[in-house]
Amino acid sequence: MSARKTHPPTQESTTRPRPPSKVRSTVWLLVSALIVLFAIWQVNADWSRFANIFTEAPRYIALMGQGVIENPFTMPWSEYWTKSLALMIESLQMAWIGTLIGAVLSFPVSFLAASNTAPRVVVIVTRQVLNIIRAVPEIVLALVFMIPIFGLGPLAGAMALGVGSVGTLGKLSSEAIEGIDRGPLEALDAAGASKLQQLRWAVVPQVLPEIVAFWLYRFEINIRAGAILGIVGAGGIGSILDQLFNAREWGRIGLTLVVIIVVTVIVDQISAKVRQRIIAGPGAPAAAKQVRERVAV
Amino acid sequence: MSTPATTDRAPTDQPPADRPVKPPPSIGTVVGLLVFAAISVYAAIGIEFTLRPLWEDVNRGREIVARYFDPNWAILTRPAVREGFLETLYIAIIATLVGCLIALVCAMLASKVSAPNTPVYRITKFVLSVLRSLPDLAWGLLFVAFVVNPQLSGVLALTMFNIGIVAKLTSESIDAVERGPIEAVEAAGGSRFQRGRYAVLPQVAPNYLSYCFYVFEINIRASAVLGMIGAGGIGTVINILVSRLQHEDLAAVVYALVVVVFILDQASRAVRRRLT
Amino acid sequence: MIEFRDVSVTYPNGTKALDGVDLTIPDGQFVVVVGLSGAGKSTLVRTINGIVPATGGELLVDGAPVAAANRRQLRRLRSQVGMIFQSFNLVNRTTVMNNVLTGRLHSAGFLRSMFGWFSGADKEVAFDALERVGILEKAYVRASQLSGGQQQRVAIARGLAQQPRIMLADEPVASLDPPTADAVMRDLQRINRELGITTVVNLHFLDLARRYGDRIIGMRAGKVVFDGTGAEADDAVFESIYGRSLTAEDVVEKKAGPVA
Ligand SMILES: Nc1ncnc2c1ncn2[C@@H]1O[C@H](COP(=O)(O)OP(=O)(O)O)[C@@H](O)[C@H]1O
Ligand SMILES: [Mg+2]
Repeated sequence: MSARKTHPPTQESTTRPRPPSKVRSTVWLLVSALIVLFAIWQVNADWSRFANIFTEAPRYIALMGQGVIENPFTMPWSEYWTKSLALMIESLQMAWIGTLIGAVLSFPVSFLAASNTAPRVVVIVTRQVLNIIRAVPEIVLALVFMIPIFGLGPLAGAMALGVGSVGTLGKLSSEAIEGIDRGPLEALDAAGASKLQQLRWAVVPQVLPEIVAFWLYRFEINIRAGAILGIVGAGGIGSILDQLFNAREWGRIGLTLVVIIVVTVIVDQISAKVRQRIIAGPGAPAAAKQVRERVAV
Repeated sequence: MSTPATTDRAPTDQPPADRPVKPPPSIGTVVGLLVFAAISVYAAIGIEFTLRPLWEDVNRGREIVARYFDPNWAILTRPAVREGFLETLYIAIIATLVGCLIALVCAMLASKVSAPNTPVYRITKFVLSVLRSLPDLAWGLLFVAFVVNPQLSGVLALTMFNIGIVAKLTSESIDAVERGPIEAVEAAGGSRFQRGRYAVLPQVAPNYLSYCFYVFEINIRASAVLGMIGAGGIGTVINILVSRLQHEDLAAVVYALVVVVFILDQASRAVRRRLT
Repeated sequence: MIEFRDVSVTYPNGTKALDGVDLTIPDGQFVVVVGLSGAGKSTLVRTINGIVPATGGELLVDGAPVAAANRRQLRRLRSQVGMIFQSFNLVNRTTVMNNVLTGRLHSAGFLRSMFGWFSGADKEVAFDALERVGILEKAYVRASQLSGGQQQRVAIARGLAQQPRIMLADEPVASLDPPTADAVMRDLQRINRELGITTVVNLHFLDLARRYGDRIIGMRAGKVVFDGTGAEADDAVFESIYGRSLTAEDVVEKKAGPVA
């Protein structure tokens, strides 16, 4: 049993199938690499500064850590914690109301953006409007439109989040609508129901769980967005974050970041649980039971 | 064929008593709705929600908003603006590449299918959820303080931000891969590395690439605003224009930004559609 | 009464699905339409409530031409014609009752129908319909939790809740196992007898067609090639309709040895 026996080739003369050409993927890879190299060459970032990550950052992080481990029941730390927590809650409130506004605005719009419930022209126009909304960062929306109208504060932030949410929510919801089983629509049409009645009784019951799950998903995104809108004066914890970095108060920065992280992680977990329950609820199609993240934003 | 007895009754004369009663909504539904209503009211009070400014003192905002309908397009020709846009693009590209590469490793560690052991899987998952919980601008503030240089801090901030998103999405794709090929490679005596390379990667590659393009779209938007806190790109220009109250100029820059993001979005989605 | 006068249907892609059909279906008749797949059975049934518009000839339902109807008149016509589908076409995520009540939408006011505040009378119609198909106790169960036969009964109840004059059924038992198929056909027949609802059923099982059809219409390539009673429709007739000899696939009860 020395050498392993190799099978003799069956038919030596036949040509073996060639692997499919790799030219296309190679070209793509090269082009991408060139683009990235060009970007690195052009960006005039001071790469040597990267060393700071190993020299400066640990010092600052240690300072932040000190702020976190100070006894939170003594002044002034107790006040710092309370303040950060109160502002984080304001961020959550903005995110909630923003999501609610987004949900209310996007719900009717999503029927106009679905090819099986609206005429082609309407669908194309609505989709492009949604794409344009998606292209505007919330913070720009707050700065440029909402603060002039609603003044500084969380209301402007909530409005910015609300309008900003319409883009994604409208798109995701309309895709859910396009994925429905057409059977019930046909049945209701045959039963003499009006167009609106068909939407209400054949489409909405089929898609509502998915759409509500998208709302929750968007809420999770809005929490993060709501945590920074304060930088431009639109309420929430972002306002204090900016000031603290300007004043280099590392201890307070540390505890504020901890507040953001802990609150966000907890709310995320709850929201994800609720989402799964809603999607996998009774009567859901088997495919929906395996909840997968949707690519959004 | 026998005819059931129930049929001789005229339908609407008097409803018989045997009709099923509508069951009350489940406790879960009731509690859920109550919680929803309570949070909504609490949040609305908390942020002093009102739509009154929309019709009452429109004049306050109208003056400014009106200036947005009269953008000063000339500003777009200034070198600072052009460079700001290019810088935003460069930062987004670099951060996408670096972030996605690191994310691929993290994703492998954060899926039960490909993680070497349970503690690594747990820890990676936890680290990723912490990474994800900090918003892009918070990362920006941190790195501006750490490395000072605006462009570099922009790249680093977005990189961290991307790792969280791409690693999470990719690890979920890995969780969902078919077990068949993995078992086949194992049965053929493949190593752990070979298992990842030949059984897992080919299955998730299209999804992973599509997530990379997806964060690229996010990055364009994010890097445009990172400049507001000093992390390079067009945001720097926006910040200056806001502080100088040059709304006509600002309008032109914002519209240009929307157009740029819109075009890149569409291009990236076109690629994504072909990938999956 | 349903009258086809030289009705043709040509689909936008050029397929001629009905080719000069002449038929008169008097009130209260139980008609079974048979034919191979692609013969035009579904098209025939769908022209009756205007879901597929006839492209030639004239089709009268209770004396009114379907082609001339505007949207509102078409909805009125459809409200008087119940329809049952092979795949049931229920909304799975909602209750049986809500599914049946959609048969009442044609006469519900705008607000009532948007919020689901159906009147007591509408609810009673729905309950009565459920009772007729023997699944009253399932009224508040989710449709997805029912078996196939029960789901098709819900669909029949939805049609009944319209209080229709005509009931159309497009292969209503093709997705059901043989005993259930037989039971559902019995339900349809009983409803036809009790309420005098004109019933048109597409089938491709010849034993069911013979057992339940007062009248059998055979179709082939968009044309009516047979029109007679169940007794007249012997194996030779079916072979001529199908254009081939019969196989075990053509009957529900597979065990029954030689066909007929
Ligand atoms: N919506 C449609 N568009 C184009 N052709 C169709 C359509 N529906 C049916 N057809 C064609 O019309 C013919 C008759 O179809 P159908 O009425 O469904 O037959 P059956 O119900 O007897 O199987 C077939 O050739 C079919 O392919
Ligand atoms: Mg058919």
